[in-house]
Formats: sequence, structure tokens, C-alpha cells
Amino acid sequence: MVDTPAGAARPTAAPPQSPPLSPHLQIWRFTPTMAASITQRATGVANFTGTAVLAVWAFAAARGEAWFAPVAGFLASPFGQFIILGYIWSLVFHGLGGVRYLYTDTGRGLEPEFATKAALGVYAGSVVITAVIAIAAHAARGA
Amino acid sequence: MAKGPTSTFAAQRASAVILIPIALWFLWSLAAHAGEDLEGARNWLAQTHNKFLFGLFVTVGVFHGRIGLHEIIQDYFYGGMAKTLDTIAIAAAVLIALITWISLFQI
Repeated sequence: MVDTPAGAARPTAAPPQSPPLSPHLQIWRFTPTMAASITQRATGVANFTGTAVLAVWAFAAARGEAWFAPVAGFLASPFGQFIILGYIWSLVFHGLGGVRYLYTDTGRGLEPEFATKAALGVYAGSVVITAVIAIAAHAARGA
Repeated sequence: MAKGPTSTFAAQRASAVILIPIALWFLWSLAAHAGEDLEGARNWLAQTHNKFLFGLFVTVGVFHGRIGLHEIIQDYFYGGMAKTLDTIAIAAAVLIALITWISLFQI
């Protein structure tokens, strides 16, 4: 068992044979790499939820107008558009972040200075690519 | 299905690599077809390659997502609660993939 630093003790006694729980987020000093790690998990959960929306959309398309109209109507509403934009950003962020992890899996890119730049790059890149997709979608609809 | 930590890690990475090109196709399709009506949606899904890629995006997506959800659950929950949440995650993944494929083949 590794010594835990003061203040990082387990929040509750672990049952025997259990893997350790994650320390609480607030004990860590904020860095872009840890922010990108948390965002990677959050976008992963969002993408899973987005996939459920895709299933509902496909189901509605198969059923017919009675099902499709309300689903399409919701997705076309301002809130629906916000969800779609968020889903696109979430997919792009998770994809770019994933490529970053696949790269660090090879043992490269782990120097703090580069890792920080790569994490910030994922944030910047995800926003730029999402904007490009949103503009392209807008243009494709002949607006 | 992955058994130990090493094969889970490999399955997560392999599904991630598969998802990259499919996600690019999905985002491109979204930009090109967003806002189409039922007829447009059905015409699009009726094309074999779109049907196949859409189903693959959802299926590989929930497979990859279920691994990630398990990882998060393991970090924050012990024992019975972790098992319950894992079961819910697996049920959701299977349900999402099933509904998608059944719907796709009805179009």
C-alpha cells in the first residue's frame, strides 16, 4: 500500500479487496492537463447520452411522422439546437482528447510543458472545429 | 467482451481508433443533412452505407462508452452500488444499440 499524503485519506473505510477510490477533485492543484482529463470523462458521458438521442431519432424515423415530427421539432427548437451544438463540441473534444491519450500511450508527450500545451490545444481545437461544423451546417441548409 | 484490466484497456483503445473515422463521417453527415424532414432522413438512412455506418457509430460508441462508464463507476463507488450502476450502464448500452439496429432495418 502506498503512503497517502496528509489530507488525501480515504473518505470512507474501504471494504477489503476493493480498489482505491479516486481522491476528491478539490485536493488537486488546478492544471490544464487535469482539467482536460475531467472534461474527457464529462464529454464521454455526454457522448453516451447523445448516442441515446440518436437511437430515439432513428426509432422516430422508422415509426413515421407521428413520432418524427415532435423529435425533429424539439431538435429544431433553440434548446434542441443548443443540445446538438453541445453534442458536436463534446464529440470533437473527446475525439481530439482521445488522440492525445493515444499519443501519450506510446510514452511520448509526457513532459509537463508539452502536455500542458497539448491539453490547451484540445480545448482551442475543439472550439474552432465545432464553429466550422456549425457554419458548414448552416451553409448547407441554404441560409 | 473484455475480461481483465489489460484486455479492457486494449478494447477501449481499439474501439477509440475505430470510432475516429466513423465520428468524422457522422459529423460530416450532420453538417450536410441537419434539419432535413422525415423523407430526407429516411432517404438518407435507406442508403446502405449510411445505415451501416450509423449503426456502427452507435454500437461501437456504446461499447466504448460502457468501458468508460465502468472506469468512472470504479473510481467513485464500492461493492453493491458499483455493481448496480454497471448493470444499468450495460442495459442502457444494449438497449440503445438494439433500438437503433431494429429501427434502421425498418426503414
